[in-house]
Amino acid sequence: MTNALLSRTALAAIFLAGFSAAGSAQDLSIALADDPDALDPVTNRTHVGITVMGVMCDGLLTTDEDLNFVPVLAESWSWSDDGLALTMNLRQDVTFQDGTPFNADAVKAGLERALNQPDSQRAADISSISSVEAPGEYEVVVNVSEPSAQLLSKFAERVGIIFSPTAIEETGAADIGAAPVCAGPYAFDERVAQDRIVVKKVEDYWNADAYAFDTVTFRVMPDDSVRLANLQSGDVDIMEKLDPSNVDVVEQDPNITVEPVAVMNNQALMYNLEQDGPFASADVRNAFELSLDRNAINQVAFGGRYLAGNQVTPPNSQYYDPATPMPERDVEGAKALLEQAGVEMPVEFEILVPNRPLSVRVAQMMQAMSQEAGFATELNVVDFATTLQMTEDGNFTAWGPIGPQFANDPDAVAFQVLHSTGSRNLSRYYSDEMDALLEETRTQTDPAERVEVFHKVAALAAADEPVTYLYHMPQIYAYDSAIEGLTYTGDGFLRLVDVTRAE
Amino acid sequence: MLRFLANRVLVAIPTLILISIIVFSLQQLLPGDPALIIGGGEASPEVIAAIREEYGFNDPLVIQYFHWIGDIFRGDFGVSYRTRQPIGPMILDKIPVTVTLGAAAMLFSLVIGIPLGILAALGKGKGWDHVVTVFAMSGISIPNFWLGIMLILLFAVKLRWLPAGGFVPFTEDPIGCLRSIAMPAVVLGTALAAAMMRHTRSAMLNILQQDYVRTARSKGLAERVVIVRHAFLNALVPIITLATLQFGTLLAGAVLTEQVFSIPGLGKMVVDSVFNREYQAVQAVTLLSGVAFVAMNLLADILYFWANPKLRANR
Repeated sequence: MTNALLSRTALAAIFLAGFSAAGSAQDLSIALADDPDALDPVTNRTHVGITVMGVMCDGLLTTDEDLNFVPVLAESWSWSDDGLALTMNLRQDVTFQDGTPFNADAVKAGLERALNQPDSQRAADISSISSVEAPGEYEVVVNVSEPSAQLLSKFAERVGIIFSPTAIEETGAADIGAAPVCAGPYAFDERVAQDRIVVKKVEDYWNADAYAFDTVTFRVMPDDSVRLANLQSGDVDIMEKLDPSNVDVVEQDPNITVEPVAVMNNQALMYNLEQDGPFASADVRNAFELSLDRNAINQVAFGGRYLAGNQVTPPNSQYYDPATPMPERDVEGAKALLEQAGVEMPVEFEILVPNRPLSVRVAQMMQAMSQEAGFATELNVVDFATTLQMTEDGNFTAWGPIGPQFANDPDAVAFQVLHSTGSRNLSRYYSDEMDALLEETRTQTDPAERVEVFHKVAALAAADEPVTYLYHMPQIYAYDSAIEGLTYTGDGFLRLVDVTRAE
Repeated sequence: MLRFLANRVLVAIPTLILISIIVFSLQQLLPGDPALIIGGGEASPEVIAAIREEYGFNDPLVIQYFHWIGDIFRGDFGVSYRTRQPIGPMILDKIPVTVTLGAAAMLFSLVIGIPLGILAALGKGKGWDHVVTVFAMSGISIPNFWLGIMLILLFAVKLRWLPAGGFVPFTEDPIGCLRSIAMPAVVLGTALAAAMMRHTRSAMLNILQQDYVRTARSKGLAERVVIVRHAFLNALVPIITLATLQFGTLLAGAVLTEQVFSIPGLGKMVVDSVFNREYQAVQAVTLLSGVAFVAMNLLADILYFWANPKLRANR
């Protein structure tokens, strides 16, 4: 009798456990490919950190999928006629997650922290800011030393996420990344390093009604196939970074939706222009480019899921220069260029390749293609961290495929790589003409004119070829088809506003 | 007994020092400048210089070593540069997870391995023996991660009976805990079960030929009593030794198993920390594993001393 009772109780418990798992529809779980670093917009360095903060926090503004600015905590903004002062009007019904009022003083303190904190990763992005004022309770004026075309794009990214000044005071700026408090729909609840981050809905947030889920759980699953298995089994609702070679298989599954989101990024081959040898000549670099069939690389290495391209921005971007189209593969043309450059054939060439499966696959294809055009291409496949060191030391001929992951403004992918003072200008490309153009893109506040200048940047970069751009990577999300209403920012991050789960 | 103990501990000390030096130097041998990696590839030279200063990368290696070991003696394992969380508490969080998984795997291997071993020994050369031997060989040969992925595909993706990954602490939800560690424990325990089975089989075969077993049988004892009371209990000694010594195998297996099932234990911590270049976390976990291994060996020595009357007589 007791035994029968026990076993019945156990059975009931098992069923209950099963049902409660199915019934707790109010948690949304998202599988991340990396463990985020500090959840602090000022010190954060990782892509995945923005994914998490983007769900928790609202910024001053954001971008839509076409990179138009969309007001969030700043309801409106305007530039002064001389372009030296940006006035922002803030929403008046917002509080931080600890109850501190969100107002102009808090924004001023937040921007000043991003500018002045010694370990700030954002200071360089907003170095044009000379001062921040709070003339009204909900009015912020940002003064810049010269007109700044990319400043708003920074406000639509991490700089625009403001943390509660009270929380920073209490926790200390150094530790706030472990217990973040911002203004946004989901407040930090718990973090287990390398496992999960749980955020909880803020019930009295001004637009709380637009958020259907009580909690959002981020689960850290670095392995691509583990992430996918968890999505397929229903253990997570959304996964990021689906391996492009898995897209075809996953698309067969009616329960899963695959969504590649276009992102302004690029992967490229960077040449070391300071190294003596054939690759010091732009003709040789252009010949190498001509030997490549970028579409074939995209088809073979990525199942056609990436976007082949030859400029710093993707072909579908307005900043892409239509007058500099992607050259077709032309082996004879490449040989002719090599002859013109007067180099000894075959041209010896070594590519430093970061040891990542997809990168190596691309490099092997470049090796095979270029050999047909008269290059004796060797691959030096090395641990990624080592390539950082080697390129910093100038100890390489060419490095790639490599490049920035995401941006909401072309400045973020162009300036640091192509300007002579750029922190990522590892090609050592020093061109006065390019420097002048890039500086103009920063001060030209007329959007149409600025697009024109970026077209000139693209044309000059194609002529000088310090970098051979290869392809652009969409951010590929896969999610349970019951999840409805997902949208993305212009730089490819998730937006959970108005997202629901169909029953 | 005391002298024996003191002796063992004294021998363990140089081993531990050696382990700490090896762990520290391995880290130094890894390619790449840690400051550049911590800087994330987009930091300015000033930031890189500040990082070098903060983490003491500018000091001579010997000084760095003593700083590191000194901090550890004070219980300070450093702070994760990535998450800004202290590493010591992070490890403390993960120990119960790996211990739960290890215990479940050990239990699985005992429950499967010992009865099968006995069966195989009793039916030596017959059908059962062959079946069990094939199981043992497969169990030893199948790679952990492959078995894990196959189980996930079947039980999580196809049948949806069990979660594909994650971990629920036993104290929070016992049934959830069992569900979450069922597959990982099977994966981690399979090779161990196979080893256990082979050892049980050979130990039983050996003992079944002993005189006292024949005596027991000739006294007219029931076969069940002969096997359980007289043969198996004696065979248990080498089995216990094996189980203790499998600690290292379990720890190594946990690295892969935890990764496949995304279980937040020490094994996953090591792998993730290596990928994220969390040098201090890797050092701390490796060092602790080394210490734990030495401690387990010490424990095995003591148990053996206690269990073996011959050793006690010879001291």
